[in-house]
Order: sequence, then C-alpha cells, then structure tokens
Amino acid sequence: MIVQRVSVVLLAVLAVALGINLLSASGRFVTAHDTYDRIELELTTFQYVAADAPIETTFVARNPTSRAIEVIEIELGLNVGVHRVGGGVARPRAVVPVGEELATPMRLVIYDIDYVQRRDDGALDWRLRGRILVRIDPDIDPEWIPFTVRHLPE
Amino acid sequence: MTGRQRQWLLEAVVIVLASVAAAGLCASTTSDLQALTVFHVNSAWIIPGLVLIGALMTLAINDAMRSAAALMIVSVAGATLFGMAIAAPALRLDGTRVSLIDRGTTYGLLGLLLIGLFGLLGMVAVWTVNTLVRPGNM
Repeated sequence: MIVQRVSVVLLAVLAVALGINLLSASGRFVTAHDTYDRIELELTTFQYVAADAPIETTFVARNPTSRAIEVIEIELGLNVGVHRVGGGVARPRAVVPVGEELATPMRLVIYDIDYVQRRDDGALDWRLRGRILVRIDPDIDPEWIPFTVRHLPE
Repeated sequence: MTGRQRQWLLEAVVIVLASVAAAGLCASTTSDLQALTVFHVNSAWIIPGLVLIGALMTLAINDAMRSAAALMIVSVAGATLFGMAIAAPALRLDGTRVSLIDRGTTYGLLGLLLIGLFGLLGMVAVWTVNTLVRPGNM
C-alpha cells in the first residue's frame, strides 16, 4: 500500500513538472509561429538612376505582434524579370519593439551592367527576392523569412 | 464509495498523471520544444524517464492486466498530447497548417512507440522484481 501511494505521489510530481514544461513550451511555440506569420515587410523606396550606379532602397520591417523581435540580417537579390543582375546585404542587428518598425536603408549593387543597359527601356521589371533573418524568441535560433517584391516603374 | 470504484478512480488518476508526464517528457526532450521549456531536461533522459513512468504506473495500479491496459491508454493519450503540442500553432495559422499537422502526426506516432515500448520495459522490470521478491505473487 505504501509503495502504491509513493508511486502515485511520484507520478504526480513528474506530471506537474513535465506538464508545466509541456504547456509553456507549446504556448511559446504557438507565439513564435504567430510572430513569424505576422511580421510585415515592405520596400518603401527604390531609386534607380543608371545601370552603372547602385540602387538606393529602404526596407521596412514592422512588428505588429505582442513581443519584441530582433532583425539580424536582410539579403536582397535583384532581378530584371527572371535574370539575376545584382543584390545587397544589410545587417541591422536591431530590436524592433512591439508595434514599431525598423527602416533599413540598403544599397543594391548591379553586377550585370550590360544586361540592364540593354534592357533599359524606362520600364524595367524589377523583382527583388530576399530573406530576412529574425529572432522571434530569445531561446530559439533565428529564422529566415523569405519574400519577393516586384517594382514596376510608374 | 466501494473498493472497486476506488480502484477505478485510482486507475483513472494514474492514467491521467502518466499521460501528462509522458507527453511532457517527450516535449521536454524534442528539438522543436526543448529550448522553450521552463525546466531543461537533457534528451538522454527520455528513455530512462519513460521506463520510470511505466514502472511507477505499474506499481501504482498493482495489477498486471490492468496496468497493461492502462499503458495502452497512456501511450495513445500521451502521444496525442505530445503531437498536439507540436501541431498547436496550426490551429491559428493558415500558412504552416499542413506542415505542422504533418510534423505533429509524425512526432505523435514516434511518441506512441516510445511511450508504449519503454513504458512496457518499466512494467516488465517491475513484474520481474515482484516475481523475484514475492514468488507467490507471480
């Protein structure tokens, strides 16, 4: 009878401790996925002057979630149509507080100048494929979020 | 409350406790959730932990056939809880719904095997010791 009672008590202790782990981990897992899903990304400026000059852009990451996020790195690949012509990288390593945004100026270098010059009829079909490295929870590894932006000159 | 009803109640309590403990142990040692837990549990503890839960469950129920049936229920309930903990974000998000449900199902099946097999190991260990200590109770 004593063995039976001690076993139930030990099982109860294990269930409480491991149950707390189960609930807390699952809750934070849901929050991390929710944060990943709700981060808003926008290309606010895109200034193309000439094929042999860098393109000045501003990339904005908004945080509409209920917890601060850290933006570690942004990679942008520059395409004209489907042809890769250049790109750029920024490493802001900045924390974006709840409800705020981070504007990161990025200079994109054009590698394939000849191709851009040949295609430059004033209405280049710019496409930016990139990814942003964000830390959405201090205890888990940063996560890359891929995105695509299309910029058509007016 | 009669003695039989008390035994049923005890078994129900033990099944609930063992299911939560087994699911919590699986969650505490899996790569997806380990970093997010309150108490850190090293992954190496999953096997001895499940054996211990199986043994404690057997000792608490103190009946070979009932504890075997309880282990089956604990395996299914624990694996379901574990799989749901991983698939939980899919209930709120559309983007990762399919991949998370798939992942939760895979981990749930793995949990079912782990809880069932290593719980059985703990159970057999208790039966063996019990037989050696009290041969008449075989």
